[in-house]
Amino acid sequence: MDGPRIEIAGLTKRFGAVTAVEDASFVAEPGRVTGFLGPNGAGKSTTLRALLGLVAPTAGDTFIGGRRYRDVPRPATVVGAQLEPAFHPGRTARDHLRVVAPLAGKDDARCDEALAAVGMTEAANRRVGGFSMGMRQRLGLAMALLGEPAALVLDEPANGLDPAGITWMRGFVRGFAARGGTVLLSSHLLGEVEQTVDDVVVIARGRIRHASSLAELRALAHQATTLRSPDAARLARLAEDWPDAHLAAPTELVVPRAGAEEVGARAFAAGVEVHGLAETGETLEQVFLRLTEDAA
Amino acid sequence: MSAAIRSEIRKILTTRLWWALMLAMVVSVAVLAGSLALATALGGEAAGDELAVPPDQLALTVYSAGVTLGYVFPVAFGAIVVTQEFRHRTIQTAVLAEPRRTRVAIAKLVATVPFALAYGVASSAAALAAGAPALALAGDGAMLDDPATWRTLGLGAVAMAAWMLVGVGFGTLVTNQVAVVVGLIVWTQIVEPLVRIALGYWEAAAPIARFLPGAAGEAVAGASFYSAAGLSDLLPAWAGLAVLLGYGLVAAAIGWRTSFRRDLT
Repeated sequence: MDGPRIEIAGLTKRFGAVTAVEDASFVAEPGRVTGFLGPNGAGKSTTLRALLGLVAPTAGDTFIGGRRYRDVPRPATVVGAQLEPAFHPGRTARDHLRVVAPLAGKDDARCDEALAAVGMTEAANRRVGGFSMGMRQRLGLAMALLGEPAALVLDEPANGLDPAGITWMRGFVRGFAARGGTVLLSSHLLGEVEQTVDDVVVIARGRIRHASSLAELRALAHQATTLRSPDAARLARLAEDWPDAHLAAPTELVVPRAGAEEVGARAFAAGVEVHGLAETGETLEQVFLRLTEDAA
Repeated sequence: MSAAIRSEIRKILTTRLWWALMLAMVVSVAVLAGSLALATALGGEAAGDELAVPPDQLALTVYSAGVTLGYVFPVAFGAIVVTQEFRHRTIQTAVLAEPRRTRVAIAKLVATVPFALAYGVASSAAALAAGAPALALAGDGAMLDDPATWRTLGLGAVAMAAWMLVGVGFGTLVTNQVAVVVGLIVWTQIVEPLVRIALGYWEAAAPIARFLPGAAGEAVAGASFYSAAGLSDLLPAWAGLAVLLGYGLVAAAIGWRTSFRRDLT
């Protein structure tokens, strides 16, 4: 599979007086899963919808394999999109695929294949009105896969999935990228996609705050060491003498950007009785929160 | 373009609305045609000859029952074909698969044509099936050897088909399903008849009434309850058809420039 490169280039979108996205630029490379992360209302969906030609940009451009979505012939065969589920409740799962099939140049057999790929063969002839959120998400993915695209754009694909479904989705997306496909998926929870993504793009309040590999994002995590002592008086004196350090509790001292060796040595020198010494790092989720809150 | 049309036809065939509304239309037109024939024929007899509607006039009124009242079904169906896409937000799926939105709009209009003709034929068949026996039983015959009968039935089918395209046009313009269906029914059933009656009293404005959509629809079939009752004059059939289709196409064109251009968020 030869996935197309997805590029957002200086995208700005205003809805009346509200600026949903401002001058956003990033890329999603083939063979990699790119996580598009941000709090609710950050501009994720608007960016993806602009990429897919559903929303007209106020300024800037978006490209899939160097072309705008509307210039891609038979787009369903190039990029599969799964957005917030939108189905006719009276139409069956299979018929939803059959409606799109002519435009993707596919036959009924391919519709059944796509349903099988998401484990929905059993529910194929049931009306969507009775489907759970998880089933709707799966049907949305089947719709995205129908045209056998080499790129997937997934908006909050984990929403409504149970833990087994999330694990399944993770494996599916990893496999798709491993075969050379491009995956751009959004989420408001970093923890949810931490094991899935190779690259991360963080958006908050319509602006891109960070774009890098997941490893580089991890490197941004601040190290810290926590020291526990029953001797609150000496601990307080140590905290006063050490500008970087602060007391998390009367018996607990936290020193950011310092290792256990350094903190242990200073405690020993100050005659503080040590009951516990632990290196704690900022979690990835905390890094993510810091990046999105810096926007405020 | 043919792929987009096939997609739209599948969209219609894969939900129950098209046959459910058609069934409702057939039953309504049959009941109306049958009861109109019986009531007018029997009522006329009871009232004496001077008040009776002439038999040929009665037959045409009965056979055009679909155009007089049953058009509500194709017009609602046509509107819903478009509005349900916005209601269930499936329009985004359509536009993802065919980003050239003008093609989506045209494909919808074209895909509706066979259904429009089917509704038209079914409506005339229902008027004939219920009206002919009722006329034969109660009145002065079913008038089946009169060419005017078959002309009214055939043109009635054409008028019903045109009404469906009017529905598609207004559904494209006003994408809120409840608003457009209620709006079309209130206009055609309540507002327009009152306007036609009012204009009938005002000589200078009377010709305007012929160009209202309901009057145009009745003109296609060349007969109607209102014109039989002497309430208004009608355009020639071809002009009526042009006026009716004109309403649909103008609404569709405005909708194509407005609702089909909007951001899909």
